[in-house]
Amino acid sequence: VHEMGLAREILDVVRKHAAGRPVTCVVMEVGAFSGVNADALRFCTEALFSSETGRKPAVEVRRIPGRFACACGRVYESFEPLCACPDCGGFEREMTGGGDLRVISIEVED
Amino acid sequence: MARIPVNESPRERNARMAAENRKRFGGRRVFNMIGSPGSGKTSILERTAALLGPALAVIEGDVQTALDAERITRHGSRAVQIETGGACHLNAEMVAEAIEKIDLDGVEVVVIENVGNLVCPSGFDLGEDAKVAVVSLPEGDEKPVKYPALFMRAAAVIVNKTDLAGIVDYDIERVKADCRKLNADVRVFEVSAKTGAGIREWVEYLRKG
Repeated sequence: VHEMGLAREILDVVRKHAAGRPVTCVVMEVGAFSGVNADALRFCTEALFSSETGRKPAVEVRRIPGRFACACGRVYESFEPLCACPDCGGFEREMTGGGDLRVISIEVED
Repeated sequence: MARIPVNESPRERNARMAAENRKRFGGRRVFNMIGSPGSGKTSILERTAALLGPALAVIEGDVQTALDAERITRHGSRAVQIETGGACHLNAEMVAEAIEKIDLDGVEVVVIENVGNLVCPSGFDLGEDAKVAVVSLPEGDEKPVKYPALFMRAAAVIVNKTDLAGIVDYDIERVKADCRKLNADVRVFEVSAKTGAGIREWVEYLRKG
């Protein structure tokens, strides 16, 4: 239920990069272990853009898997938190991705 | 139409403020305590305050009331209350305001007690050195696997209300195994805030790691 607060930050980030030009599309990535619901984030971002700018850009939210670096050397990806290393079967691993969310790109009118 | 690469996290503003908080904490050991409402976070901190006294400062986050801060100061530790007025988690900005209101002179350990919630707080850095997750026996033993985002990030997990073992069904070995799968380096403390069992080991961790 913190997606609206994140949408506010997203709007600020997008506005900074758009530099006054109308925004037609926002592409985001949400990690499987970011604690953020992709659908709620898309809904909140669209709603906030509409109310603040009077325009509703296409908002695309891509879910990306967690990325794990295992002590055995294997790097693997999974959406499942309890997915053991496919090589050694262990959990001596470090999460190196899939824990955050990012605005990847935007499209603006010229 | 022009496509502009952005590659920026909407959490960066919070992360910058958390870095400022970290500076203001001045090398003290700082913990972000996260658990469900009723898991016993404040009761554990009362026991902690009874042992650490003025060496402990607590930043209390609640949706409403200053009841929790009062419970801490009764034991001789300092406490400051943040009332979020509805927000389900603390952010670095709220903690920055709390730091302004508390005297950290002589304090070795700071614990920030987050709003009772296993989801939202896990994504917000407050300027802590480590996150501590609190679970308790009556909640059931599936909490770590149901809320992996928190347990992947928690350096320590407290299993509270061990005095209820045998009264409620709870497989503590399963909980410990799941916690280790989610974070291989996790420290697990079995405590009872009611009886005081396990509190010394927890306080030792707070002081020395």
